[in-house]
Amino acid sequence: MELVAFLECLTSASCIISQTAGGLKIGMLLFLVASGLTLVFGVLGVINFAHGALYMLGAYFSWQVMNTTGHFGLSVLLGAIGVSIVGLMFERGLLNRVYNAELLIQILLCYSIVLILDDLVMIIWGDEFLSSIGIPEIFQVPPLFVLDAIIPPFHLAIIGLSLLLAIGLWLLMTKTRFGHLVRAAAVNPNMLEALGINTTVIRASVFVLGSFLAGLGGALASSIGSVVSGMGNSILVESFIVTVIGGMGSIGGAFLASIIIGMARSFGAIAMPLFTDGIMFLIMVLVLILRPHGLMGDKK
Amino acid sequence: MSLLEVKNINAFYDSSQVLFNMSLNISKNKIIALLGRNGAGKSSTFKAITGIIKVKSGSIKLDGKELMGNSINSRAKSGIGYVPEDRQVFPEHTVEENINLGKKNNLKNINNWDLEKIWDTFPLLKNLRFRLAGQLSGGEQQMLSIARTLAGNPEILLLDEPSEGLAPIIVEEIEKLIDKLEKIGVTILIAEQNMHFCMKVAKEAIIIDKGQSVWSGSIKELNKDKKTRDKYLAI
Repeated sequence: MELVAFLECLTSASCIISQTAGGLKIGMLLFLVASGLTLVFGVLGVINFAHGALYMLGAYFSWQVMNTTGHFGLSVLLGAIGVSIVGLMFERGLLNRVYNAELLIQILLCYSIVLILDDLVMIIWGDEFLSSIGIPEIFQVPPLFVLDAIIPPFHLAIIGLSLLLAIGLWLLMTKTRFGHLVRAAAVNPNMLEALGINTTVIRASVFVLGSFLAGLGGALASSIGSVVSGMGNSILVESFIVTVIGGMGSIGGAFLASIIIGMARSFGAIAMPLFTDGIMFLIMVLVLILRPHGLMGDKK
Repeated sequence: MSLLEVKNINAFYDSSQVLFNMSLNISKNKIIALLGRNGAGKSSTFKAITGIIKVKSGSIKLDGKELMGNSINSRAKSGIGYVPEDRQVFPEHTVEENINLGKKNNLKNINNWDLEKIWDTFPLLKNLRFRLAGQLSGGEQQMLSIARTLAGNPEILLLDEPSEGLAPIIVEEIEKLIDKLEKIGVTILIAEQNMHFCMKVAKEAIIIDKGQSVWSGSIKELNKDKKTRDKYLAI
């Protein structure tokens, strides 16, 4: 353990600021993906193992649009929308047939989609790492210096955008009729159906929304990292950890847990560079012991 | 013509049959009690009408329109209003949000239960409108469950055991409410075990036993007919 380096960081304002900004960037990107996962679980009751594959697809789609049009905003948007369409086809064509099946069947279906998509992108785009689509021109400027801490403006933009989306998601779920229906469907879909609400449409919409968030996360990730088949696997594991820490089905919990994990990764990289994944799991174990239903989950 | 016409339905929970050639006729603007022992098939009858359990054969017509084969939500849109026995309010939604969830879009607006009319009919709920439904008492939840279903302007209200588990004083409140609804002209079918409660709110009754309807007539008649009561209702 690099205790000295860690303590040095904690005594330096610049290190704290830059690690916090880095942690927020990791955390907010993670939130985009994890919120979709937790939303789908909360309403559909399905643990969507294919969520990471949808994230990967978002990265490939945006890479393709970027290399065709050269327009950054368009590539991110179309990446997310393209994944929403794939998500809709997946939910309508396959997933809705296993809602009442056992967990194992659901996992098997999702996992087979992961394998198929992983191979499919290799057939279409090859098995090489594709280089990142890069950040938009207006962000290609010297980094900001805050108390000697280096902060890339694009990271701030990602944090800001994700924060806006988090607020938008919160408003959608708490202030709109759609959100009220979604939350009611998560609790008691049969009663909602008996009140004359078509819950099939609600389930499909929620899956599309979840896919959009996964796709958007992947598209944004393609701007700061390379794109490769299987890139969704590690984010899937992290999203699960976030979902478990925050409480299954809780979007607020996912937000809190994403920031915790982001910070743990960012500061953990200094304190225990070889054990950052381990820190994440340790936090999860700790939460499971102290609050088995997660930080903001229901006691079910 | 009857508003709700159920003819020879056979209904199943998974593979076990719960209703056998069950038939019912419910006329408009009436309050009718559906009586029977525990397990006789009262709740199953409601669940078959709403589409929650599978009906393999027979016919269910509302206002002459066949409902068989339609989904739960489309039956509700056609005018079936279901209030389940365990109320099933949405605990993390407020009273007002629960009522709004009961609204439907496709309305014929016969009764037009807008929010104002609901608050007029349920003044108690108006005072609790911003409270979470999960924090309400059993009686309040029962009121809310009825109000929520009314918000969808149903043609008929299927009330499953509204008095169950409520204190006598609260049951009286529910009785008053049903009287109020009768005056407005709401058609209600009430599944009950509480004969005393039914005597007060309904004028007609249907008795079901072992998944079949076995008797129908006026409540007064039934009150005099000790033999029928002993045969089908005594525990």
